[in-house]
Amino acid sequence: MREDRILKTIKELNKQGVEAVVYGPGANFQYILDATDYWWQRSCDTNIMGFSSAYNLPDALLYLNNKGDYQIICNYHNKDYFTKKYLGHVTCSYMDQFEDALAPFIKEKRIGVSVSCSKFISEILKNINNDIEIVDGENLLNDIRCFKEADEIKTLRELCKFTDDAVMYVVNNLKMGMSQREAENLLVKYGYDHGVSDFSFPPTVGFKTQNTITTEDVEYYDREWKLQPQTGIAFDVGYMNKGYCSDWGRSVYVGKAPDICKKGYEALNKGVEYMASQIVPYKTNINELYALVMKKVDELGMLDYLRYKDVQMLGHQIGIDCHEFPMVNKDFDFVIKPGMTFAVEPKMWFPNEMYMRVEDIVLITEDGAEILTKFPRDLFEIEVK
Amino acid sequence: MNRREKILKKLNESGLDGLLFASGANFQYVVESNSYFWQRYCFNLDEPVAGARIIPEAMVYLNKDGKSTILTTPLLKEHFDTTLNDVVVSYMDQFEDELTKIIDGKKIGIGRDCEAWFRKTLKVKLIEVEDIFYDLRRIKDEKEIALMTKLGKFTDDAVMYVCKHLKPGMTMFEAERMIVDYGLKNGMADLSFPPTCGFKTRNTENAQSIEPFENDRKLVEGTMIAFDIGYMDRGYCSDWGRTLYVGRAPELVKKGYEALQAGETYMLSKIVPGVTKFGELYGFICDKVEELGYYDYLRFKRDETGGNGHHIGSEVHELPFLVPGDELVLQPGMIFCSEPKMFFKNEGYMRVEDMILVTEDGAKFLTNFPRDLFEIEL
Repeated sequence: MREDRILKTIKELNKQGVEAVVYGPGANFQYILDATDYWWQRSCDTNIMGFSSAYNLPDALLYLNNKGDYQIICNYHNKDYFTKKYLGHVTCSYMDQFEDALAPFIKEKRIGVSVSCSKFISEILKNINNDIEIVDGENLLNDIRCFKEADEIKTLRELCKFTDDAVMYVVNNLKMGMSQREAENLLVKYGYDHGVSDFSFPPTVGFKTQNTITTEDVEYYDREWKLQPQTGIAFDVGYMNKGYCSDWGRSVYVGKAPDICKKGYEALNKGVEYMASQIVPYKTNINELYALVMKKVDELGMLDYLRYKDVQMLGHQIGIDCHEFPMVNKDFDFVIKPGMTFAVEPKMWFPNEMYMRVEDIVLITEDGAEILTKFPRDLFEIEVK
Repeated sequence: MNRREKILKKLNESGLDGLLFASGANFQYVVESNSYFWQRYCFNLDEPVAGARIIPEAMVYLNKDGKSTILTTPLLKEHFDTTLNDVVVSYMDQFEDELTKIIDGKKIGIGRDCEAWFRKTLKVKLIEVEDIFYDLRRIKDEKEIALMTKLGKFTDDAVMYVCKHLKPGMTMFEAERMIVDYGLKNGMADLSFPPTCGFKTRNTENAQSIEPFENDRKLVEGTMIAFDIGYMDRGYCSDWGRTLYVGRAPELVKKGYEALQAGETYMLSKIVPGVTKFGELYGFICDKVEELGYYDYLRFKRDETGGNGHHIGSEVHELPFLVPGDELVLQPGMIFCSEPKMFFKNEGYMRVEDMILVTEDGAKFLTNFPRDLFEIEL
C-alpha cells in the first residue's frame, strides 16, 4: 500500500465531497493499491474503453474512506496475492458473498464507485443501506493520476523503448507480398517473445498503396492487402506491461516516396518536436498544443494535409489506462505541470498517396518536455525484399 | 469408449465439421482439465452463462479428426493438458486471427458462452449446440464420481461443523458466514450458490410464509433451520439440504421431518437402473409421505413442476429437472439431487436434499448427514 497515494486520494475525496469509494478492478484500484502485477485488464473486457462491463461481478473490491481506512474484498483465488501485500486489510470471501463481506465496513452515505462492475457495486451498496448516495468514482482521481511518480515514469520509459524496438523489428522483417495481418502478427510475436503482458489495443500496421482502393478513403483498411512498392505504412501500436500502457506511431514508405509525402512526414515530425520544445511547465496550457504543431506545419507549407484542424485534437494522457484525462485538444483547459505524460498523435492524409501518422509520448519535466519515444524520425523510405 | 471417443462420435453424428466452446462446462468437459477456474470468469448478472458479448479468455476447437486446440492467453496456458490438446497462446486482441487459422470447417457448433463474440468474429456457419453433450455429461465417469462423492462428504462435514457451533442469539447471517469460512479454510474453490441457513421461528411473523428469510433474524428456542448449501471444487458442484430444530420440536413437526426423510429413502430404494424414469421419483416420495399422513404439508404436490430436483455435475443445475412425466431412464453413473420440502404454517420450513448416484444395481446417497438428527441443544 502506498501511503502517499492514500493521502492524495483522501484529499481528492474531501475536495469533491465524497466520503468513500468502492472500486472494482480497474485503473483506480491498481493506482491506490500500487498493484501493478495484478492482472485485471482483461477480466470481463467487453468494450473498447477497456472497462469491465457494468453488469459483471468483480473478482476483487477495494473500499477506502476519507479517514484512510481501507479493505480489500477478494475471492479465494486472489487471496494469496492480496494477503501477501496488504495483510490485515483483506477479507476473503466467495463472490456471491461480497455484499456480506463489504457490509461491516460501510458507514458512509456518499460513495463513489468505479465504472467497472458499477451496476453490481451500486446494487450491493443499496442493499447495505438504501440511503447511500452513489456518485461517479471513476473520474475522482483524474487530477492526481495524470501526474506520474518516478516509478510510473520508469515503467513508461521502458515501454516506449520497447515499442520503438518492436517496430524496428517489424520494419526489418517486412517482406514483399506479406499481408497487413501478417505484419501485425510480427508485433504479436515480438511482444510475446519478450514477455510483455498484452497490447494496449489491437495494433495496426496500416498499408495504403498509391492509386488503389486503399488510398481513396482514409478509413479504409484491408488486412489481407499485400505489401507492394509504393505503399505507405502507418503504425499505431501500444503494448501493456507492469500495469501501464504505451501508444505509439510512425510511418514508413516502401520504395521511393513522392516528394509531397516526404515533405509532409518531415513537417509532421518537426511539428511534434517544435511543440515539445515550446512547452513551459506551469504556464503552457494543454489546449495550446495542437496550435503549436499547426504553426510549424503551416510554416513548412503542409497545413492542408493536417487532420483534425477543426477540433484541434492532438492526443490524450496515458498511464494505467491507454486513454486518460485530460485529453489534449482545444477544449480541455489544463495547465501543464511536471510529471504529466501524454500521447500526441497528429496525422496527415494524402488522397491517392498515403495516410501518415506520428505518435509520441511526451513527459513533462521541471523545465520543459522530453519525448520518450525515440524511433528515428528520418527513417521514412525503406527497402523491402 | 473413453470420453474423447464418445465426444467424437457425437460430433460425427451431428453433421457438423467441428465444435467450438468458450470457457464453460462444455469446455471443461472437452479439454479434461479441472484446475482452470472458469466458473466466475465474467459472470454476468443477467445471463446464466458468461456474458455472450464478452471475449473469451480460453476456448477449445475440436475437429472431426479428434484434434482439439485450445486458444488462450499467456496467463492461463499452464492449466491445460497438453498431451490431450494443442495449446496456442496469443493476446486477446489477436484471438480473431488465431482462431481463423485454427477453424478448419465450414459448419461449426458453438456453445452459449461468448456466443455473440463468436458470431461477430467468425465468417463460417455457426450453429448453437450448447446441449450437444448433455446426455454424455449426465453419465459420470469414475473420476467425476470420486470428486462428487468427496464434495458430498465435505458438505456433510461443513454443516455438522456449523451445527456444533451454533449459539443462541446468533443471526442467520452469522450462521451462513460459518459455511463460507469453513469452505475458505478448507480450500474449496467456491460456493455453488449463496448458502442459506434459513431460520423460521414458531409463532412469529416469519413462520407465516416460506419467503422471505431475514438475515438479522436471531436464533432462539423454537427455530427451525433449513439448510441449502453447495460447494464447488475442482470443476464440480455439490447441493445439499437438511433441517434442524432448536430445542424440543412439536410432535407434528418432528414426525413431519421423519416422514420427509422416509420419503427420500423410500424413493431411493425404488430406483431400478435401466427401468425407473426420472419423472417417477417424486411420486414415490409422495406415496410414502402420504402413507405417513403428511401429504398436506408437502410444498409441492404430485403433479406440480416445482423445484424437486435436478441433475448435477460441473454445473449445479444440469438438465433435466425433476418434473412429473420426465421420461429419462435412470442409468448407472447418473448423479442427481432430490429435494423435497414441507411447510408448517406458524411452525417453520423444512427441506431435505440429497445427491444420489445411480449404481449398477440401484442407487446410493452421496450425502450421508444423519437423517435422525433433528432436535439440537445449543
